[in-house]
Amino acid sequence: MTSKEEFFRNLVLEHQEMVVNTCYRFVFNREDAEDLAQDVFMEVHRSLDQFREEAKLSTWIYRIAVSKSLDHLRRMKRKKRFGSLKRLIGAEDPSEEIAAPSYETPAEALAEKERFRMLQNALDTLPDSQKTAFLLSKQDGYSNQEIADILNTSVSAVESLVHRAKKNLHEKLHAYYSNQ
Amino acid sequence: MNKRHDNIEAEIEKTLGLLDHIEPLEVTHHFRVRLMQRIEQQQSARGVGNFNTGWGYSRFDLRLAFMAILIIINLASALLVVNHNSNTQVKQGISEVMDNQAYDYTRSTYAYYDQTGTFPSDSEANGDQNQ
Repeated sequence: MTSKEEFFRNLVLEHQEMVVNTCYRFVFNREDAEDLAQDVFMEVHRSLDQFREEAKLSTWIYRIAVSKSLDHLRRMKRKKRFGSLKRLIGAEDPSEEIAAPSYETPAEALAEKERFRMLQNALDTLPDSQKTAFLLSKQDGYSNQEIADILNTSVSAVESLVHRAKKNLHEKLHAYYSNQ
Repeated sequence: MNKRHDNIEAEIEKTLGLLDHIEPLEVTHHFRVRLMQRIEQQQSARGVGNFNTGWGYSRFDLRLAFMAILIIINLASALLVVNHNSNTQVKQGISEVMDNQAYDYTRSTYAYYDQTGTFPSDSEANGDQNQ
């Protein structure tokens, strides 16, 4: 095994949990999160020679994870639009399945699934920067400084983004639950 | 009214709280195995462009070489066309000059070497001198 391969293997071992969980925060689906994490490490393997040490290696990797996850969400959004068209003609759309935790009663599970769907819809309406700052702030292991490095901005800007994201999400969810 | 408002706020709290209660995923060793397999597959797929010569040619190099060949062929054909045109012009030029010269020399005006007229005989010439 060459030193480059060994270095890469150690890199995967060190960051795989963080990358998979970062992607999972965005997509709420284990399989998609693992597929995205695979793509992230493929990209890291391809571009490792071109990595310039302007940022920390971990920041660079998490930045790739965020951008791949956002790309995936954009693709899903397009698919969803196409899915609603398919529903009109009676075809199913498997892309809308959300992995919800197991609950004691089917009613609880259904309610939780609905909440996940609502949260995902509300998150979809946020601008990418707000969505990223908010989701990373909810994940253990990311300090505001690290989020700022990933987004290439300042800590105060991250705080502002998280605050605005919470406000926007609250408004969206309020509008939804008021109409029910 | 207040109760409804409280209910809505509670629902919002619950919905936003979902993110706080997401259990982190544990990554199995299958993840790494699959990743390494994918990387190996990608590397061997890249090797297809090498023609197994081990000379390190990538597909990109082959594309470049193909482009270079196309450019050379284009340049060569352009040169051939240009050369052909200039040759015909030179040939045409030479044949024009030769035609002109031939015409000039065959005209009676300049045909001093050609015995086209009648010359006086020797006796006539001498008689003229004696007279």
